[in-house]
Amino acid sequence: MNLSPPLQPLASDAVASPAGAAIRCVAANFRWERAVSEARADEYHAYVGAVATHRDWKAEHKGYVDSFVHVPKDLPRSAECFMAVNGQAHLKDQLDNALLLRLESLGHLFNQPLASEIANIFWQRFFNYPKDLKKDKLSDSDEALRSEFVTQWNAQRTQARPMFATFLNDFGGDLAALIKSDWPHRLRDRLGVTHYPGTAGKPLPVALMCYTVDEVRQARLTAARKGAVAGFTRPTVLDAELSAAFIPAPLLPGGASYGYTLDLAGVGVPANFTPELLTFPIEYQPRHIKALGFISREHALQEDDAMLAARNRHVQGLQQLPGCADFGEVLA
Amino acid sequence: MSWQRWADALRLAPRQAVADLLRGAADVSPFERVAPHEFLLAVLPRNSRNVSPALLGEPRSASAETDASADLPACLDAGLTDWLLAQRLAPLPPAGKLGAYAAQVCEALQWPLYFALPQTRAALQAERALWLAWLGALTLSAYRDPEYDYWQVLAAQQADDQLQSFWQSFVVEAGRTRSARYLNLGLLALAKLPLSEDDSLRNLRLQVQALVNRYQRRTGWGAPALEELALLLRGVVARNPSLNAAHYRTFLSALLAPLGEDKTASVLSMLGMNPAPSAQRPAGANGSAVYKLDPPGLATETDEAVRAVRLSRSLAQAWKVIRPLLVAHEDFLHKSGDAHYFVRTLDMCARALCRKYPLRDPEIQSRLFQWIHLALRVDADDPRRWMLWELALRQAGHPQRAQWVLWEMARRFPDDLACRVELARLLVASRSPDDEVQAHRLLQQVLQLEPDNLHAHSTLAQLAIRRRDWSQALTHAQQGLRIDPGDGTSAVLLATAYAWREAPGDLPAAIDHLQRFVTRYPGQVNAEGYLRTLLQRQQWAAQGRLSTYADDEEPARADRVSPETDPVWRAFAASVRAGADVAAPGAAATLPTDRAPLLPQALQQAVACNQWDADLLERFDEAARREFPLETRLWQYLQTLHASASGERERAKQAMQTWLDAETRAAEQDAPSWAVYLNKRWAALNAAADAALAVGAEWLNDLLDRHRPLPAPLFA
Repeated sequence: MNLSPPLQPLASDAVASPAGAAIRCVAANFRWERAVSEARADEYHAYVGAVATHRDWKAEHKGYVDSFVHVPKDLPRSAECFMAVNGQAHLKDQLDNALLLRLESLGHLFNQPLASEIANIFWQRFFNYPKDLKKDKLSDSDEALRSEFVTQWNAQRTQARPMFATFLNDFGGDLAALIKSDWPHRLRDRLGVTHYPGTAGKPLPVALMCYTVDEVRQARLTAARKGAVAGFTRPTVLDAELSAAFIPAPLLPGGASYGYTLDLAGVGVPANFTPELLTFPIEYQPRHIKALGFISREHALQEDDAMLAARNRHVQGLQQLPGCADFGEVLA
Repeated sequence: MSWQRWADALRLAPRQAVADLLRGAADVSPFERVAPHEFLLAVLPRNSRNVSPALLGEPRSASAETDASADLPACLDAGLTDWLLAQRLAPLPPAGKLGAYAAQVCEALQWPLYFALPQTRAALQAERALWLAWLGALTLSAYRDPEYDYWQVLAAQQADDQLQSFWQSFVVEAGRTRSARYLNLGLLALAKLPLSEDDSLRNLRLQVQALVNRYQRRTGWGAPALEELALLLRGVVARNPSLNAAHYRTFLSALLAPLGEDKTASVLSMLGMNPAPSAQRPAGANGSAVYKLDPPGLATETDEAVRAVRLSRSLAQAWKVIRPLLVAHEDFLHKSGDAHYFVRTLDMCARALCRKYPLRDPEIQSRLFQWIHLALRVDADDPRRWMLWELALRQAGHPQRAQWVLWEMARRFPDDLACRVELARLLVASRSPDDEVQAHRLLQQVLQLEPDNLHAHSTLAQLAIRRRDWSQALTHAQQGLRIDPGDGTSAVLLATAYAWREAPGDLPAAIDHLQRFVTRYPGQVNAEGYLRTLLQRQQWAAQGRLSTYADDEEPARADRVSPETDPVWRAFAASVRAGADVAAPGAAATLPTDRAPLLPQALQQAVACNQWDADLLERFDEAARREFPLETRLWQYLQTLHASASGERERAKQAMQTWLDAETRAAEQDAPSWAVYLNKRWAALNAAADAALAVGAEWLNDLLDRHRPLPAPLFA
């Protein structure tokens, strides 16, 4: 990504390294990012302005994300990543209908005093009965309960933020089989969600969400007036807060290249990657919840050194993809 | 894990650490991508959460929580309190950064929702109106609304019923003066009121009653209103599985009864609870009677209390009569959610009290205002509640505040004449030239709607005398006497106009007129007194002694000059002034793009910018448009005037006419002044020919100006 003069030195490894491993990683991400258009970069620079420190850059970056990506649901414009200005990162909208997966934390719902009671009732009813969650039709009272839970959950989702998702196909294509496995930890690791669970001793309740490409397309069409020209895009460094767990992916021509998640459980240089895309936000429906579970074990990348090593392996794997030999760099 | 560095910073400099976390500058790896409150859920001790249920199937953690973070909640509490108080006093950031800043404030208000932060909570509970004034300025859209997050904090932990009326009003008002989100918040907040051991169904009843109240304000919608009621009740039932289906059916039947049997049956049917056939009901008793609450007193008791106030000899004696009655009715309101009996009793008793006594006793004053504020929160659509507030303020020695209330009324009730006349009188009494212009404008509005308004004519006559416009003065005074030949005020004004004009024969004419008047209508003290004055003048004139008529004028009222010092009332005054600014043409050059105002504000901005976008209404869902049937139709009509050929305009005009005919027919019975208002304004628009768009825009602006949150003092 082309950076403005104030940001260029901050993004250099020489200046970022002394600021710590996390800053070093996110600075590298800016250097490696290829999917941000000039026009979007200009907007970003105009917002961020002339920052002098990494702290201020992070803060202004978050301000940018809050203003242009994590937009309120009712704002008359969509998250910028789906607008024409981000065309370079857009994925083909014509992809076949397919099932998408998301891992959602529910922890905050159980700890929010106004929502916790319905969340608890829902959990008590469905935690041990994932087959019921898959049913299209439940008894009136169960259906009302499931609907009310989702209504309250959607009420908490105040932003029309892009949704990170992956394909069920990439997890074997059999949802029932996935649910029978230790899906919470498996997804957490494969999707590179380094902040789950929070800390030791605090198991995190999570939900396995599944929705379709067609539902995303429909959501975008319904919100056509908001200026979104794409329903699917690959994640860029501008689409979320700065994080070492994110690594840009090489940009392949033709709108066919996804993002690739960092596998938290990987041990060698990966030959395959889990695709990651941003979908236009949808309102959850009861049928989207496929299973409930807990993430209770810490992942393997708790220390900075382990994270840096995993990123290096990931980058080395990316460099082995056709035409990507010059992508990124191994950070010593 | 670098988040521990932030924890260390929090211990050293709480406010700075809080600021850094909120603005995204803090080093909180690996939690950069979660909202700060989710980060805090992860790192603060579990026992610092407000609720922390153990979930079914939750794995027993291998490593117990350490106490290394036990001190963090207190640090966070101190830092957050300081940050919030500092932000409230700080200037707002530039427009380009306002969205991100509002998001920070929204986030900050999540923390006391999730965590026990007593210092922050206490700070937020104190000075509620000031917090709301600040947060209101930061509200950019329904979903970036720090005020909503503030109310959530208050709703989550309630030690008493103090906020109940707010929750009820949220349910009713959601979609109109507040975003639709407030409907859910209102219901959840009612559920969080303290439980009552001798009435365990109370919170459930309050939720259902609030929904019934909401429905009753929207019966004009027809079937969609009933469907909405059923849908919302379904959610309430799902959240409250403590009643079985049969009891729910009986319970809901009792509360829905005021809607009538057919509608009750429809709602129950939509909920999958078919009403029990009458043959199956318990013999000799209606099951729903178990759930029915009776109001504490009959209407005759209120009449009796009003009589006692009138016959009382002191404020204390009168208060002793009405206080227990109002306490009982307030208690019923808190139990039932039905405000009808409380507001009716308050209106009658307090009005009688205020008409008889100045409110000098601080204790009585305070309690009475609490009740008046409560009545306004639950029934702000009735101008009588506002007139009572205005009356009480005047009687409590706050004429300036009373005047602001009247201004607010004039905006909320464009068809209300009494508030305009009263306001005009106060403005005239101030003797300020600007106020006199305002008074003149208000009185002209009154005469447009009611050409024979006696008080408007007499006040206009008074104004005309002041500016030596004898022709107008005589005209209005004569109009007054035509409307009511026995009106002493008009008689005196007519005589004054003659006398002050000082044309040949004027003084005898004035004396002659007044003499005839007092002969015909004896006992008119003012007229008789002024007649004596004029006779005296005539005598002096005969003796060659001069006097000035200005000596006759009432002195300017001195009780209005003390400046308002209460910040809450100052905020109200500012909002009264701001309302006038918004309405001014060209108030905004362009429509802001980082905001998503509610429909009335969006239309108002569009009118101010003269931007008649064809698709503006399409930005709002059907439910939002349904809330404002008159405004949306008028907007569409004006848009046609702005953009279309004459044939299309005529069709649009006919459509508007048809809708207005139906609306005025419906209003004639219950709201005749509204019917008159609609007809007059529509006729004025049609008569305006080339200026129709401007006249219509002004009307639309007046209509839109009605839909606004309650004034700051009602949130204190």
